[in-house]
Amino acid sequence: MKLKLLFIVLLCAFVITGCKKSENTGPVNGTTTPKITNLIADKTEIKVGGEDPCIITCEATGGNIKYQWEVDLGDIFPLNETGSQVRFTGSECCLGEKLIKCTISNDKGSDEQVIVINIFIP
Amino acid sequence: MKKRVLMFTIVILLLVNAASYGQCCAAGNPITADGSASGSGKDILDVSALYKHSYSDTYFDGNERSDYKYIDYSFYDFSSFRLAYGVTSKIKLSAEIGYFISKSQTFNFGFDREAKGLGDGVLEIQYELYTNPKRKVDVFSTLRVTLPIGEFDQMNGPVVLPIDIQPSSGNYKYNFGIMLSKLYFGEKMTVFVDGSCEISQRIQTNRTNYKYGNLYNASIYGSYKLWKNLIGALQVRSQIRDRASDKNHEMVQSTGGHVMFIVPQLKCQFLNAWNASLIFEYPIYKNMNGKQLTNKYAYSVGLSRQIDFYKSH
Repeated sequence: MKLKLLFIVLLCAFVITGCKKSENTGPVNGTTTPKITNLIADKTEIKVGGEDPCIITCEATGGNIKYQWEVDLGDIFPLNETGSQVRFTGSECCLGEKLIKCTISNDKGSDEQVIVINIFIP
Repeated sequence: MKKRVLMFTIVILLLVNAASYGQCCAAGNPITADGSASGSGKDILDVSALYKHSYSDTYFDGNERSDYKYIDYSFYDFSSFRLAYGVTSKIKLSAEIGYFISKSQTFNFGFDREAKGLGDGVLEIQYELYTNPKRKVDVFSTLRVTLPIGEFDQMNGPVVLPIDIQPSSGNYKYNFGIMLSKLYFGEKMTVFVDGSCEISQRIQTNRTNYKYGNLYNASIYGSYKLWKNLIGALQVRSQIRDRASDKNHEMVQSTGGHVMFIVPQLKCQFLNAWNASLIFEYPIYKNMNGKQLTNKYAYSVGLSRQIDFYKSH
């Protein structure tokens, strides 16, 4: 009887611990698949030259994100350490609509979005 | 014959001054030729190295200086290594590789950026079309292919650098040229008249779709033996670039233009087969399309050595 009782207690303990939800189901290294939640500019039209820049910010989820910015014509400069915010201007050779692409990546993958900024002569 | 040489010179200059356009900056190796050509001596290997510094800080709008400010100043330090070999008495083959020690732009709003690394590879074939030893006249043709073997994806932190500062051209370029040389005063003085056209292939990558305008060059070069081993030379070069075209194949404004350079040179021969050269380039005329940053000056220092395999046998 004692053996039966001990067996039932051990079985219950095993079932209870076995059914316990794992605490380790979160993202490995704290990262998840990266996703751009918002790619925003403080203005979408800028005057030609360096005195009227637009500030573009990329908001993203995923953790441990690397940012990459590119444009075919125009000048982008990073404004913070992570590279999530940049400054964009263009000289006379870069008039018109410019497509600025932001690509984010981490060990889980990558995501990208494009924002259009128009450079005009006032 | 004198009339023919004069006509040839005038025709080349007129051709390259025909309605055309230019462009502000270009990726890839700069012009390294000094405006002269050596004879295609059979079995002669010419090994040369060159360092070039170029500085730009002045905007031009058309043919007038502009007070426009965007890039405060820009410069590059470039080096190249070249091998040229006379395969036959008429054909010379050469290969060049370029490296940018630094290629930098400083903006007037407090930012700067820099690229460095391997530039382009260049293969050239020079063919002697005509020679007249009695009149001491030679005519050469050249075909040059630029190979985009170098860096074209350099970054400034998280930002991919624009194409005009990338060390490599990012595309193939094809250059066709013709050159006439004549010796005067018992070979003390040499005159070269040179015309060439460079056609750039469209750059088509995931992020870039762009075509640099074609480049047209014409130059007159005269050298004179100043002293035993010292040669002084003066070149006047006219350089015109067509407007570039963007991803929609539309002409890009404020690209292209016409610049004329005066290029004094000093060359010194020593220890029989060694040559050193000092070249200074100064623009004397600029007519740009729109507002563009233009070159202020450039200088280069070269060292070369000739190895005659025929004599050494």
